[in-house]
Amino acid sequence: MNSTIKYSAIVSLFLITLLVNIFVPDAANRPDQPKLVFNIIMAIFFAAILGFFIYGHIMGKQSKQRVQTVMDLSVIFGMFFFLWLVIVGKLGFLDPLRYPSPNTVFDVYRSDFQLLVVRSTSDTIWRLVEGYVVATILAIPLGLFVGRHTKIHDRVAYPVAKMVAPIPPIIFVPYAIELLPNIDLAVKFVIFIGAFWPIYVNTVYGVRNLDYRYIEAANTLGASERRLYTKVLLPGSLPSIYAGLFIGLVLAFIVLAVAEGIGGSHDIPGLGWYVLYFADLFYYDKIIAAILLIGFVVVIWTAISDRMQDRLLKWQKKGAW
Amino acid sequence: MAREGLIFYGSIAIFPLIVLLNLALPDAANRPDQPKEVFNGALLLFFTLLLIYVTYGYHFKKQPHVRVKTVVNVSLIFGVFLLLWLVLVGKLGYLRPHSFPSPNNVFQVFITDIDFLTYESSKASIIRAFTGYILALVLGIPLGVWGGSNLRAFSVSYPIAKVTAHIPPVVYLPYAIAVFPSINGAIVFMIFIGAFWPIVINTMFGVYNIDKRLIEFARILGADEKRILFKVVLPAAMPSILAGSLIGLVLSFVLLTAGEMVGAHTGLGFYLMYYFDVGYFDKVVAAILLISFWVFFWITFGFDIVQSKLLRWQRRIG
Repeated sequence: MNSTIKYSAIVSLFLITLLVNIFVPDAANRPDQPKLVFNIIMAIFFAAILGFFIYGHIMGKQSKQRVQTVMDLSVIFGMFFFLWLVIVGKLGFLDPLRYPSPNTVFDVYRSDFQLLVVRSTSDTIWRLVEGYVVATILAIPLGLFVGRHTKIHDRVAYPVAKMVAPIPPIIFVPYAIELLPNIDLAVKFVIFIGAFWPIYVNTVYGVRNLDYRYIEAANTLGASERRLYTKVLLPGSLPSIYAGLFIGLVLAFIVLAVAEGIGGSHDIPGLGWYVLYFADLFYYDKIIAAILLIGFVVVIWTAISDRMQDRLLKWQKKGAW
Repeated sequence: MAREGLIFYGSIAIFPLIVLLNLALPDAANRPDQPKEVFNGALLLFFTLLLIYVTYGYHFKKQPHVRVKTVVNVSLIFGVFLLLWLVLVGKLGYLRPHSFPSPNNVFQVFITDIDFLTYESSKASIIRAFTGYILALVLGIPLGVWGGSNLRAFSVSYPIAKVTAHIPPVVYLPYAIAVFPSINGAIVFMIFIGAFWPIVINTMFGVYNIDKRLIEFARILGADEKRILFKVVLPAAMPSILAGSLIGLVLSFVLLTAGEMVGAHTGLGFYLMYYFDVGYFDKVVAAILLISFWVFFWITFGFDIVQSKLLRWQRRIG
């Protein structure tokens, strides 16, 4: 019962933020904040967490630990928005130019809807998907092949990877822009380079650290080379491949932001370009809005890849401690 | 064994061969009068170092055989790359001279710009990178140990860390420049953030995945919490911590270059971007080579040595 009261307080945090925003007057140094979008988003958060709370805790459809994790996360996000709104937006602390109120920031999604939410986001996601997927498709088979053939690995692949892999892919951005026919292609190419090496290196590592007895057992049982790859090497190295995919994604995002910032324009928009372009013009509300949007894209992307990971790695034992 | 020695010495002979080719073949018509001293000198210096290393390591058997082999193979690949670059671009004159300078011209930049590029920019960049990186290590490892040993903290901070770690720290940079008093501080902050997450996540994961029986054994044997932390938890999580630290180190160099290309007025990334805008591609390539060299240097000579010291207990899988 005690936890129900505690969780109810947490759930209502978003509702409180919403009510404070409506009824408390704006700070004198940030007058007339457009409140609509922020209020809608707080209401969505409130509804989603209320739904989860009722479904998971009261009806008991979720594990206790999961409910607790979601509640802890809600406290952190709820307190973040609440404190931001009260300290900056309502009490008017801090410099208004550099620290805009959440109302102003979220209103950017409405006022800049076409450029920021539609064109920049879709172009960025599209570039990321293309560069990253091509890197994955090439790196995993190549990594499996090189990991399987010790001679090729020792003579050529390992020295090359050792030398090239740690080079920051960003330094190729100017060259890629100079050499490739258009900037879109240059950005994708650099994303590809950035994501390729971590995925490849981790695949090779996964295959080479595979217990050799598995391969021998498969050979003894008469597995063909194709079956060996698909049934032993690939599943066996998946945990390591996933680590590589994670690092590859981080690098792809970094490279993407810089490459877009250097090469982008109003005709070639992207989230990275958006941030760096409006930084030059000192629109800090737009910068923060874009950073939050990138975070949102990341959340969705991570959620999808986690689902896939759980499904593919069902056989792996979870940590005990 | 003797045959292997011949292969080693033969492989590194590619460097004097390049020097000879450079002196013997005439320069390409579209890239006339290349200054050859610096490139040749660098190659000969590198060759001498390799020769000493192979003699010392292989001949007198002072280094593990595998390591000598790796060093020779890496150098050979590097040598082939330089050879192709010199012959195709510098001597036969393929590709556009504007965006593909000959290696002779590129290496010359290291001497003509010795103050600005080789010394000042390198110094500024390395100090920035390591300030951010060391801050991340000092804060990230203790925090990761705490997060990994506490189930509730783990299940809350893991999703947050996963999301935050994915947001490219570069996008914080414009905001950091606005909030921090100096651009230098903003870049260091960004490097710190970038290196911090992989270190925290991997430490957390390493500590979380420790076999629980190890800790129970230690407790049964009467170890107090401090001893358990230093003698059991940290060593057992060390492979994971080091994996995270390596990713953090690579990321801090990526972010360093990114930050300098976008915002700074000193450092190697700034140098690269500045001369790209002006269109001096020999300087751009020189900066790319120098950045790659520093990254390679710190990872190979800094990180790998620390790692082999810290993980000496781990049985190497042959």
